[in-house]
Amino acid sequence: MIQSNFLVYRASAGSGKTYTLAQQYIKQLLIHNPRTAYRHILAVTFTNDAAGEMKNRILDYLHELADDNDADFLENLRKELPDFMKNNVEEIQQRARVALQSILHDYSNFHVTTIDSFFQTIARDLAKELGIGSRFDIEINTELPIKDAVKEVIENATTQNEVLGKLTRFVEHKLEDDKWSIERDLQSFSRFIFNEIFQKNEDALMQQFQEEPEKIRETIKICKQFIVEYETRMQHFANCFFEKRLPENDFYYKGKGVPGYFKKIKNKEYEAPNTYVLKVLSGDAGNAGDMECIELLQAAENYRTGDRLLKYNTSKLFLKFIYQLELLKDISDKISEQNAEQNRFILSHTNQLLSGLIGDEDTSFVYEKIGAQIRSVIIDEFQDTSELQWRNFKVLISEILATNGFGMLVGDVKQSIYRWRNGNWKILNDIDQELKEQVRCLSLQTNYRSAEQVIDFNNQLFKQAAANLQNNESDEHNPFRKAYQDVVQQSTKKAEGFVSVDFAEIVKVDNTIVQSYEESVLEKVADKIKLLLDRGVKQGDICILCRANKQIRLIAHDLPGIFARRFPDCQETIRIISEDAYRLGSSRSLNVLVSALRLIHESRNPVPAAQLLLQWKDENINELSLEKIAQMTAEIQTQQTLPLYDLIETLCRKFCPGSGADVLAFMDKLTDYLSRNVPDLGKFLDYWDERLSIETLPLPVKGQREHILAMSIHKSKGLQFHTVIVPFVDWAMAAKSTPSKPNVVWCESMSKEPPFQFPLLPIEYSSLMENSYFSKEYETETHNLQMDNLNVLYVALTRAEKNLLVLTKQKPKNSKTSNIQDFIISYIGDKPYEIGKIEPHDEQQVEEICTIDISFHPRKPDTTVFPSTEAQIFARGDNEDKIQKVKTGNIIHLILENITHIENEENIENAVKQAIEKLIIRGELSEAEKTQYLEIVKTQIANSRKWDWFSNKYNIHNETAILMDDGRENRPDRVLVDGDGNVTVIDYKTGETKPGHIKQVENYMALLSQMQKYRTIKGYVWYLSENQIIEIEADHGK
Amino acid sequence: MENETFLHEVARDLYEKFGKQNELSNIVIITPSKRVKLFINKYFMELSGRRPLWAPRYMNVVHLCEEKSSLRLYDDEIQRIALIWELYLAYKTVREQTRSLFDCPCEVEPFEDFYFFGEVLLQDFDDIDRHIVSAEQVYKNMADLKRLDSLNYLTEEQKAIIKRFFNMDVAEKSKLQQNFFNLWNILSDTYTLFKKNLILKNMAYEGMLIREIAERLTTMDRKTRDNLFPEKKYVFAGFNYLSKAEYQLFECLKDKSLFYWDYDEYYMDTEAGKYLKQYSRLFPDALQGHDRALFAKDKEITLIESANPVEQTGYIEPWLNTIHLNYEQADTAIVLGDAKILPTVLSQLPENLSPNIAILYTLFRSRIAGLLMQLTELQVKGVRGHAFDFDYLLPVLKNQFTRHLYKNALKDIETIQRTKRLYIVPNTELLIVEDENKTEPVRVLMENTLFRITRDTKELVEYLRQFVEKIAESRVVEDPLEISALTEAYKMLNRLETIAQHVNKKEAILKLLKRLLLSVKISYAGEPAKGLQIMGMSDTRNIDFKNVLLISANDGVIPKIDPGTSFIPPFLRKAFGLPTIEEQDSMEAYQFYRLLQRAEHVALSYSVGKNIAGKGEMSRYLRQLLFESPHKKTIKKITLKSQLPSTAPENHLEVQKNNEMLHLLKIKYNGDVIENNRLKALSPSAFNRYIDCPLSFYFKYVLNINVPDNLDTALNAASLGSIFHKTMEKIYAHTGIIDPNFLDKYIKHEEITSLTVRLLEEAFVEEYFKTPTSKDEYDGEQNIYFQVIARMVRNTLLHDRYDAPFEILGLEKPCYFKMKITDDIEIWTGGIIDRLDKINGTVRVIDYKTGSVPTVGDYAKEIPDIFKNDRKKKTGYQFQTFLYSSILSETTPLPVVPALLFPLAADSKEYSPILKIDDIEITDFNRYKDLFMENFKEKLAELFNPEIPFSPCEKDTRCRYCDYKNICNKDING
Repeated sequence: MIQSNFLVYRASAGSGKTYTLAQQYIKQLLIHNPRTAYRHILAVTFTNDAAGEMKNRILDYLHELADDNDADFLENLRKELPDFMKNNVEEIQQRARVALQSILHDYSNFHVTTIDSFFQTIARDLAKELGIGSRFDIEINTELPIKDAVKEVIENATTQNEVLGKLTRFVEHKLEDDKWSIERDLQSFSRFIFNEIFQKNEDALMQQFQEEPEKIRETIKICKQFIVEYETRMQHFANCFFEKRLPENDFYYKGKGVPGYFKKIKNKEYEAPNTYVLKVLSGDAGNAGDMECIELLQAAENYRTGDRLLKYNTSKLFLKFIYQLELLKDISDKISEQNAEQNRFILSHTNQLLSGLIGDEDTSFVYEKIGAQIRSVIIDEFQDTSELQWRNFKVLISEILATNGFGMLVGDVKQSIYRWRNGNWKILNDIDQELKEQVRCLSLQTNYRSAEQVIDFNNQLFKQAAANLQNNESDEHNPFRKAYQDVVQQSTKKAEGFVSVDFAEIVKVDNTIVQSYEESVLEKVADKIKLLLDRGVKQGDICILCRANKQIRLIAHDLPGIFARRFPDCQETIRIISEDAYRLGSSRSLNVLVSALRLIHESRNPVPAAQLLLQWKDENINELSLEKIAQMTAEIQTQQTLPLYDLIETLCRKFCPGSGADVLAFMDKLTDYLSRNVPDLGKFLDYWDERLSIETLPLPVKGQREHILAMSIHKSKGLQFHTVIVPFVDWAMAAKSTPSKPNVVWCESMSKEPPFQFPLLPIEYSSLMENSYFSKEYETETHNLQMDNLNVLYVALTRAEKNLLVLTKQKPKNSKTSNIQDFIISYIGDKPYEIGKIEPHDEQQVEEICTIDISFHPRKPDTTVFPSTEAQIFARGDNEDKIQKVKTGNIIHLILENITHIENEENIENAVKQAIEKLIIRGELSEAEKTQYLEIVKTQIANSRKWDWFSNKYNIHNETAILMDDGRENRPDRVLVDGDGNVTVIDYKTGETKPGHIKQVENYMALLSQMQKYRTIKGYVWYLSENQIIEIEADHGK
Repeated sequence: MENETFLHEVARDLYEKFGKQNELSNIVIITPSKRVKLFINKYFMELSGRRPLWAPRYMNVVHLCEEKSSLRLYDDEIQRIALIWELYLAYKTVREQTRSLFDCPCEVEPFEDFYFFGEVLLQDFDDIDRHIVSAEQVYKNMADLKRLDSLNYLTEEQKAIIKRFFNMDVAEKSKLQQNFFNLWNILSDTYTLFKKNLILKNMAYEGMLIREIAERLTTMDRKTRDNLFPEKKYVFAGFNYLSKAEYQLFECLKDKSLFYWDYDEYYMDTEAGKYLKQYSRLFPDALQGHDRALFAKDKEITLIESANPVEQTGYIEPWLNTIHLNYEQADTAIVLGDAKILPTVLSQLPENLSPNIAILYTLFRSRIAGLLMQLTELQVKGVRGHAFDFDYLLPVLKNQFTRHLYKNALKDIETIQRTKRLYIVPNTELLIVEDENKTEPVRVLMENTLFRITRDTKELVEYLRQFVEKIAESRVVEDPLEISALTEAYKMLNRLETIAQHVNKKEAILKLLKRLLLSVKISYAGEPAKGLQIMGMSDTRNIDFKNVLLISANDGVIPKIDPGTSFIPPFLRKAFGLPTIEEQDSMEAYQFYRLLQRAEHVALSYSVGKNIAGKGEMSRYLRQLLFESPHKKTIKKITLKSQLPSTAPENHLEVQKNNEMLHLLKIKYNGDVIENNRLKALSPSAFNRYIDCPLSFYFKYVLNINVPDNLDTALNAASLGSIFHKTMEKIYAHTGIIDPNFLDKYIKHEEITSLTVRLLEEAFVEEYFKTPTSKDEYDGEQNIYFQVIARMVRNTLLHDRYDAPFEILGLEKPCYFKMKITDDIEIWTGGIIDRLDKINGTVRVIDYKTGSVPTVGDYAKEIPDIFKNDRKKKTGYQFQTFLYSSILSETTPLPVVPALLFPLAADSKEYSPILKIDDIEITDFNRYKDLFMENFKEKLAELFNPEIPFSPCEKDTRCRYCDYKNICNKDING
């Protein structure tokens, strides 16, 4: 059997993935025709950065190969090459050179890109077939479209349409919840429009809604009835119990036993009874209590459990989101409508659109239509691929497989942390099952990134963690174990490294909290940093990774202070940068600038004025007064007639001259905004509040950083740092579901018990789910959540090159929930852990980059720009004349300009008509004005008795230019030369007679005479509106 | 400049040949670029020693052809509207003839939906004509092999692809393919009909004209040709890639033409020189023997990397400092890959530089475009019956153009906001011009134009056009670019007006308008050719500079990657000799290298920031320079660094009290101040604010910084509350005994009666609309709010029914009390009780709260907790009701019971609005009164204590919705 050319690489953290990718890519170029091979390879990854990196690496290695500069790379590559080439280094070089040159000069066919932009290219090309406009703006954000759509759906709901009914039902349901905000709740739920599971089932669901319009309504009714029935019955049991008014002490384990059970029922909590109650039920409790009560208990328990409970919970779950679900289609339709209206295309729609339209045999059609002949494919970060993406790729991949073409999928299930963005690691995990021996699975075993102890620690920790992941299936099929089977990595043993795990806790004295958990963590972090600094680590080496943004903020704000307090004698002060500090909304300059804008927009609002006084004028808050606010307001108001861009620049000059990266980034965003939106200050301020203020400047992750970096674990994927501190390793496996962040599991429900047969239902992940018809989905989701969290931990702990420091928290006793630290504690125990020794700063030379410091110094633009004459005429007119008159004059002027010859008097009308036609085409004249001007000009030419100025006997320079000494052109309106070399110059004028007009014609005459070419020179001014002709005397022209 | 520029070479040669005899007007100079004229003319004058000369004519190929044709050229974006309209008509006719092919046979998309596809189609037809290709052949379903074989110019590989592409079994076609082929099959007919119609109307697009002339020329005898092309010489200068039609034109005029090519040996074997290599052989250069190896000569090349596109402009000044700029010779250029950043480039230039700009700039960025969009939105989305929606009217009134034309604009905004009117009927008391100057055109405009509600699309466009006209007449515009914008906008609207009547929906006009504003370009004239040149990449054609700074040298910008503008698949384009991405790449590569070949100081900057448009990658040409150019060893690399932001410090602001403040506070509430016929007293909400955040109390009640409500049509919690209150007030308007019989009028069978609905509608009008509005005029949100409030009213009435009978003692009842804090401080405190009733021998103080229902934990458990600044969320409500209860307890013999009624929760029998202390419902507030007042007094004493500053609250959660958060500058995000 031939060995497959389709490779699947499982590449754990730090295993030289990009290197391998580049190597394999280059190999393909060399063993095939280096002149054209790249045209047929498609290499995709997920982020722009990664795609850029891949591109650079391929080109750089090729360059090095061609110039014979990288012996290591050459050596490793040779191992991969077929025999005929292996030992012919010259041949390799030659081929590399050809490949590089070909790529550089045919770069459009060098397909190394992000998965998104690749599919976008396709979407763009297939725009018409897909039913979208061909020129569209890509919208990467989904929140804004959702927001607009929800708003409009609500706004348009009237008594005449169904939506109002749905909305009212939704609101009524929300009212029962006592808390409501229609827009916000709908918005947060509408995110699921972009969820692939929903997208996949959307059509089926909507079809059902359409075919059985009453089904939802009826199901709701059944659920409500059942809930009432169940609750009433349970309530009845509780009431019976409490009516007896028996003292708690009469019961086994007193209040905790049977009375507790009924108390819960009274509160509508229908959980399983605890052990004390169970003992009573099974008759194992000695002195169980009142017999009647025990019978009551038995009856209640009989009623509570079994299918009734399942049905009750399912009903509750069903009602939770069904109202939103009903509205989802309306919102999704509205989004499409607005897309069309605004020429917008939402990135997240691409995959769905394509997959909906691409048939199984379509690849050649699609690729050939866009003109790419793809024969090989490389997909990086494959674990993040979504099902739809995979579906869209698979057509192509089957073709490659069928021809034993080259393909490569690279990824690491352990680093899959984007399930919430539709990433599905199971595709990679099960690829060997799916494609069987069609693919060759390989694994990169060596970690080149981290020091030995770090690798070792992670090897042990995650090996054990994976084994602990619970799953009912046997070991063999346990997907989690499979995902982590390659977790153990080899080390290059370049450095020993350091790992420590420590605990932080709430400090209580006599049950009062004296130090919160957060404070404890921060103190510990401060201590660790001190330790690191003492051992020669530099601040720029350190990165602190957190899961939640608010933790990052806490560290950025409070850590420096805490450090200074704890180590007053320490020479160094802690400097921390975080993405948060790089938020545009955190910039001092921009805050001042925006408050000035706000003040202009809302002159009656004193807050921005006060803000300016405090933050710009450094006014003392005690000195603030309404008068000063009024003054400030007046000072700013003078700017308000400027157009938006000029306004902002003017304000920059005033409020933040010479500022840096933040203002430059702001101006960049503004420029971008203005290229797509109408310059409306109010809307721009909204845009600032909603979008710009939370955008961030890029963080300096490597190079000459001198600060400690604090960032999120998710963002750190793909990066590495000398020393990594991971505090707050304490999170719960499942976040709590809230209205603004509903925790939804989408369950296919067609095969469930009636009446819950729907193609798809949104079910809240909660304990109710465990005892419902969706218990199996609950279990699966629980496992998936564990996996998600373990992966996040894996990403966090594998970023360190040399030193890794972890801060976690002891688990509270009897805690039922599972938390992330379970994995760590089960490996190291509940005592602090430390191994290896702290590695100091690397003195390696960083590549010297030549930099220039720049800043933003807007000046008042000083330009010599002239509008076209035509525009001047339109917008300015002649200052002393009546507007309409001038306009008429100018149009006549334009008409005459377009008449070259008139054969005879009868022909005047025709000639004028043709000239007018030209003006209409150009939009200078409207259709309606046509006849009016035809008459005027016709009459003028006839009346002037000068139609012979248009006759054939002259050689005509109609608007021909005379070049003047400064290089500028002078353009008499009409110059006539007869066969004898006599010349006549005519200039058309509008408005009143002015000496300047004569002067101008004299000037023309002078120019003509300087040409020394003509026998006689005559000049005329033709006043068009008055139809008066003045002859200029010849000697004036001398 | 050491190297002679290309245009100077051309000018020198032409002057030798024609200029000396002043016969330049006998030649036509045909170039791809308009700006060439400026430079060549300038050189001519230098060569003639400043003697006046007749200028030659300058043209591009299309205009040359237009001159020779009876058809009229429609070539700019504005005229294109008319072409696309014609195309649409043809398409529609053909579609209707071939109904059976399509999914929904009877529906042809409306014009506005077709427009975008129309642009693509027109482009394709243009290409087909420029390259003299048979449209019938192109748009043929070439599944048929025989037909394919007859196309003998195809290579075997091309045939194979075409076969594969078309030869898919029809039955198994996916929807995608089906869509494609359905359209494909009608395009040939569409093309034919479209052109037929154009000829009837004397119209033509560029390709059509060139094709016409080129085809005519090939069949013409020499004499006819010379009649048609009478000039002495046709000079073709600086061309690169030629379309087939252009090529034929060159060929036919070869014997009476001069050709000047501009190329360098360095790139002749790459894509940049692909075509010139061929043409320079076929049409020999009029100039021989000059240096063609300039590129490899010494140059300084610098690559600059920046974080984002705008940041690149920061390099302009440092760059200008490194070069020597010759003002007269215009030898220095800043070239913009992307015109978008022009404004920033201009403002980053050093002073007194007088730059000269030649660039195309989108009309969309002009001020007039903004107004047009706002007006259209107002007319399309902001009309409700006879009234304008304030949300859409506001931007129009604020627009500086409107304000110039309508002096009352700001005053009207004030009035509207003050009276809280949401829907404004024009020409009533608002939006009307003073009747003093009736003759003025502006006045007429205002009455007939600005505040008119347009009925259909035609009226809408006419309205816009008139508006532009009046602005022009009012001469408010000074900025030259804006003047040009105004003109272009006017022309555009003239064009649009002819089509508007065919467009049904006003929304479509909004869409078309935006599209047009984006595509219509205004051009900076850029005369004379002096000074620092600022230009777009395509404006550099044929012009040479000694110093060049190229900004936005990013891949995707230079070269532009603009796929998807053709409906014809690339392999077919290739097979038929239509241009593909390769030709485009080649042209842009040429443009880039040509710009560099004579230059001496070259700086190329690019940005790495992520951006949707550019990919943050340096241009491929920069990579080429780095990897293979003769200069690769000497290329300098610079990274721009700008200062990182200083974060706004988190202020812990504190205000020290002084005597003046305290005095003001004292006299404010001492009973001397009467406001709105009511005594000024320290209200519960003011006091609550003090407890929650003393600093914000300072801002609001000491400094009197009041944030005005933002008036918009969106309903909010406040309007909901007031409508509910109003409705309840109307129901219980007449104090007295409320018994079940009374309530039956308002609620029956657990639902509110039509009488209640009517009262609710009245309350909506009084509290919200402020103008008579019937229920069917409500929009969705108003409908929903109506339902919600109806529900609240129902719940409340239902609850009252359980309680009935009871006696209403008063609604909106004032309740004040003078409190002695210290010996010299006495203040009034109190407020208005929503409802006071008497039930079961107690007096109930009821406040309605329409917000979400609190849980047990939201309240304070004990009286002192109410006054702690870390108190629970809803404790303020408790304070308010307790205060009223305390005051009432002083004067009422009956026990006073404080209650907070939450209508959202009130529908169950078990619900009790009575407040609790220590989990026990209060049956008589007298028990707590003293303790309450004592605590209250203590806290008030603190307020007046000069030693204790006004400090901000500790709990950040409160700050999120605080009006003053920007002043404190607390970081409360996320």
